[in-house]
Amino acid sequence: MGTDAAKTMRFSTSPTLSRRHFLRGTGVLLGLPLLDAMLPSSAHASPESTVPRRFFGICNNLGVLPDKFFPAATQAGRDYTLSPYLEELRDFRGDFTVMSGVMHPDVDGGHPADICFLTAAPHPSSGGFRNTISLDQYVAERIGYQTRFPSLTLGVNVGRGARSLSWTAGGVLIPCEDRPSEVFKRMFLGGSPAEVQAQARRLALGQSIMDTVADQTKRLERTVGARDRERLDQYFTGVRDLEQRMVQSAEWEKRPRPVVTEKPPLDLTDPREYMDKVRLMYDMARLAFATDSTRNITLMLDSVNSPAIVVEGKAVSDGYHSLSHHGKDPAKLAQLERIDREHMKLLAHLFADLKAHREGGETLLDRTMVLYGSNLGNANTHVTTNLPVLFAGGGFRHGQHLAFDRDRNYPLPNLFVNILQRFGIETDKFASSTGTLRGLEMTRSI
Amino acid sequence: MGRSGPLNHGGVAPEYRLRRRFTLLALGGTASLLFSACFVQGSVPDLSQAAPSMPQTVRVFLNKNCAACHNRKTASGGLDFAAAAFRPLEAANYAFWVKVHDRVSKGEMPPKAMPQPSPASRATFLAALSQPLTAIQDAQARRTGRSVWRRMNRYEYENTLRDLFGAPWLQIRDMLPEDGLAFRFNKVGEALDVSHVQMSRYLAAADYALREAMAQQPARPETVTKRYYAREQRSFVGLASFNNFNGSPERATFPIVGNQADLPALEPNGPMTVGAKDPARREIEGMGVVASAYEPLQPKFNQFRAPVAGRYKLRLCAHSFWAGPESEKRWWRPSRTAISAGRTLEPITLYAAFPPQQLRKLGSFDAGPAPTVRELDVNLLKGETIMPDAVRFFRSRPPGWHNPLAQKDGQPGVVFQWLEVEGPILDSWPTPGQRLMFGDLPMRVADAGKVEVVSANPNADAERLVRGFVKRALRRPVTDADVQPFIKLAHTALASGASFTDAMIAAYSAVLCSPAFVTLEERPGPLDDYALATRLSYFLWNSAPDAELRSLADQKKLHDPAVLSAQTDRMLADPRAGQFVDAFLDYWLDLRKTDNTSPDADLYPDYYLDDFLVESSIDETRAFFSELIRKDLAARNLVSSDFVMVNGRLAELYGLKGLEGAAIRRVELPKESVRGGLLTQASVLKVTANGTTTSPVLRGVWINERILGKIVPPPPPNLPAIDPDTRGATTIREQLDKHRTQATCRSCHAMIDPPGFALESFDVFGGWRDHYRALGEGQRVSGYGKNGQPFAFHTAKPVDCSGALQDGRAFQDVRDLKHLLLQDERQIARNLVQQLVTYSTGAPVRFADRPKIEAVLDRAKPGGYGVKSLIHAIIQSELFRNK
Repeated sequence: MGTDAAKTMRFSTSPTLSRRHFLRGTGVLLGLPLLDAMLPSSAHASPESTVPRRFFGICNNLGVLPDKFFPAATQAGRDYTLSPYLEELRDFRGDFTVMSGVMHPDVDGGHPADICFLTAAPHPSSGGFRNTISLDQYVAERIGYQTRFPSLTLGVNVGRGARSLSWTAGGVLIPCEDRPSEVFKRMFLGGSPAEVQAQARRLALGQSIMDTVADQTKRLERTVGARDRERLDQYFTGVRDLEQRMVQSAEWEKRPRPVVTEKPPLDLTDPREYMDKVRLMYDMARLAFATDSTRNITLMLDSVNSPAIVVEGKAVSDGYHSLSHHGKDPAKLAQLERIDREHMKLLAHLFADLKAHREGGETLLDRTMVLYGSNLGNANTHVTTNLPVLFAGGGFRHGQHLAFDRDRNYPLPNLFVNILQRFGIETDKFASSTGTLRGLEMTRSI
Repeated sequence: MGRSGPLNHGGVAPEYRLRRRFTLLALGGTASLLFSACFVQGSVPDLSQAAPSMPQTVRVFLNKNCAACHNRKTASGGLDFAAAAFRPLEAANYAFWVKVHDRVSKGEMPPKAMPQPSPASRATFLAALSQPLTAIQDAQARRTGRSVWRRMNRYEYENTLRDLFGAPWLQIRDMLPEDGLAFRFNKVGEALDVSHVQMSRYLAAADYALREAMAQQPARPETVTKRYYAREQRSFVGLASFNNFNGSPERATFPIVGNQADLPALEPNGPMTVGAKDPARREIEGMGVVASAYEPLQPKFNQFRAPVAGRYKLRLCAHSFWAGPESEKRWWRPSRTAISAGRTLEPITLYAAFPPQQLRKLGSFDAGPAPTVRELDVNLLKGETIMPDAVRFFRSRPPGWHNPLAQKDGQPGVVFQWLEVEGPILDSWPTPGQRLMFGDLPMRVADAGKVEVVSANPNADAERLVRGFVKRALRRPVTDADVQPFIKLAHTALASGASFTDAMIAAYSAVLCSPAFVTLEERPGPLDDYALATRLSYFLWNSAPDAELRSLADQKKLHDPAVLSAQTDRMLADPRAGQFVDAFLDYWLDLRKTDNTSPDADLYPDYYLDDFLVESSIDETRAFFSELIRKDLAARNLVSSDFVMVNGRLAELYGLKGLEGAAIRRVELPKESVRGGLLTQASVLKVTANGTTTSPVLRGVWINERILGKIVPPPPPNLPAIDPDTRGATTIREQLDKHRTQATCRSCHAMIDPPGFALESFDVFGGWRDHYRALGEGQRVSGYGKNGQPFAFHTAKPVDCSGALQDGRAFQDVRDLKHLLLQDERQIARNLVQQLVTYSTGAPVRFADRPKIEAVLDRAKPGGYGVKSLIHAIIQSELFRNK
């Protein structure tokens, strides 16, 4: 741990968050009986038998200056010239794909669209809006039981409970955890004995419920004919499968926590220290993946809610959000470029860290799909088309610019289908997807 | 945008896919591209019966009338009757013989050019072929029932929990996965799968419902009436001043007193309100808007947040105003100082808002020039606040918007004065949910403010309460064996150290996840009174039987035809019948998919972002179908009616003059109107388009299948999609020319396309058009969209809405088409009956069911196939009263 920045920062004096906060922040798994999270793709496959795949979804809700981010529209494919911003990622050119001309269909309405970045639920500013399940929670439902935490939901400068990238199937916001110290504590230090016991009791209760339901189903099955029995038998299997997953989840509390050499991080409380907070959260994500504590992390960078932030030791001239409404003022554009370039540098750090860690003959980056992007194509005009999207690692053939039509955008949810399939989840659909992303190929099939 | 072309044969909707699977299964080895009758059959005959052999009369008829072409040598259509086996116990073979039956029955075979059998020999043949086919399915129905055991779908589960706990505000539906479809509906056991995902969602939903339905505090919450003045809401006030993020009046609130600008309040840090010290003036202070609520202008009555979930009364005081132009030059910008009396009646919608962005519609009403107080009786969730929306107004999207409602002398606005909230309104205490779960046991506030139920005798209380709960939750008499496992679960939980509350919730969760609750119990043969009550209530209310139905079942009276009929009338008159109408139309007409696509911002900026139009169009179709039931109007109205159910917004869309206001009402149509009936309703025309273009094929398939009850064969595989031309160089009909000229296409498209051709007169939201719209080069149409952006489209080629039905009858436009379709009223009624039977019994109409469908129709014929009469006839029918 201990980045230079963190060492110079004040230690947070606010009281540590309750367990409840953390549980909410890490997905609903442990808060029984919201057991959505422990659902399987292949029921009894041992986790060790497959290559672990991971996902890290990051949304910067003010985006970046499009002119400096996107490569030329005419330069599709592998021989494209890096854009000014992508120059910051030159060392990793072969590890990421940059996309242009993509959008979430019907996700309009400017700022509120950030909560749809991983859900693609349409019309977040319109009447009757209710969010839908986010990509990370969809994954957690299916493979979450394979790790101690089905998912982690993180944020920087997010107003408490106000925004998040992670949403349950019922459209309920999963609040962001914004304290790296708390993330670290949960992963490597664990809860109090009372908390551990309460959790064990909740899981045991869940198993008892399913056991009771299973018995009832069997009893009912005996009274019906063959055609109806088939349906009840499917019901029975569903019940037993869920019970099995609860058993496996309960195992986690009995297993020792991973040991890491890093020291617990210090929390930063000043919203101006935005960039250092981002760096700390990237470190937490890398640690979580390296210790296989979770395979699924989201990070909301609430730039809209951020003041005049510090970049390389010096604050920018205006509030982040005000700057984004630059009106083409050269002074403001220059300030924004400083911010945007710093974002790219932090990403380069993240990629380097993930690449430095090896796992089973591959680098951690090869097994971690990193999605960096924004709900805004251009913060100056609030458009939600032509989103800046960078997709790195995770076992795809990168090193290319996937250039889609900038007038008639291509659906970004298609990428989510690639991500789900990379996880080994059998599906051909997520939200408004129309297939898998054209031009994105896996490096190997498993 | 990656939208798949509207004509893409490959991009079939999921329910089509399911149907195709059935089809393939049914056709087996036969290479025919023609449709499979198995779709009509549904269930697959099984092989445990004795195999029938081909009736001699069938053999003779085939030899005499069919073998000239369908022989070994010619094998016309790949069919040789000499080699055709009669093995109807196998599904594919059964379907084949049904197809033979139907083609002869409809007179399609032998072909017109060939010698025809006498009517008598045709009838003999059909009867002889029907006999074994019917016998097979009847025997199967006796053995297993037509339908298969099924679980509730997510609509039913939500309604059932709401009724069980007396908590109509519970939001359950979205917590459960989308249900599988078969034969178009979410009511068929074969498609209502259960997996561990489904189970865990049930568990989560049950836990949520139980914790929400129990009392949230030990003492009865006080019912409070409180007024929230717009001028005192941070949310309204914060938008009154210009700042870095906004310098535009369209995105600001307007401080107004009476019908004048409140100039001091416009000053920086000016006084926002006189407050309580001057009640008369406070009453007429308000905050105006000239734009519809949308990011970043979404003022709310933020001081109010519902303290608990439950019933509330909302009273909003508002009026319209007129904002003069900012200047003569920039007349489209409103002045916040030149305010005068309102000139318009403005529809207002109230939303329940939950951060960050969830918006639930509560209801709509109007605000005119004089301040009026309008009341809504609503259910709110804990933490929700109220957002008003003047829905007719525009939604400013950058850059440089221009209010489309602005005139040279100004633009309309709405002033919100105050919102009064009365609530929570409790009909009883403890609440029904609390009483059901915990009886009269006292409550206390435990650690960390958590509310707990207190029990002096936990084990005994648990047993007593679980017994009561199970008795109420299950829809049939309960035995001790039913209850014991749940009591045991509560006792185990208590023994393991769980609190009394948690132990009871664990036991109740198990009940709500158990198959006795989640699945609908039906045994082969005639339904007993409990199963009949259940089938009836999930038909007409989409929820569990109420006390009256249960009591009639207890007394074994419900199966009596007169009692059943009286109950049908009672249930249809109950507001819960709305749950039937909503759910039935959601699937029959796909209304649930209304929001799946949106009007294109460039081609249809006049519809884009118009939520009020979307909501109104759904309301119209629901009101229309409800009207048909309530007044027992003839099924023919589905195709053509002399009235519509519209509000001001829809009247504008339909070109009906002189109608204003938010409320849907019945309006008689002028003679020769193109409107009337489902085909020309905005909801149907929207859901059959994709927001950008319309397709006669998709609309044609839809009308054939949904309204006319025709079975459309699945599209041939691997046909390329037609890329719709939004530049306007070719029309869709020109692109579809192959359908007319190529025989392989024509055989199906002669049936599919014609209704779609007539509907080409209607754009993606059902507005009338004589010409298409196109983007790109061309003379732009002047005007501004709902988003405040100038129109970017131009007028393209004219629409051709003429055509001819498969039988050659020609039509010039949709009015002609409707006249032609009305000539077979019984078919319109028959289709509705088939949809309703599938919906209510969970099984499709099979070959053997056809005579029973005809009997239903005969029964309702005297009144001209009234919709309510048809529902009655279905409920009295053998189909409905047997599994």
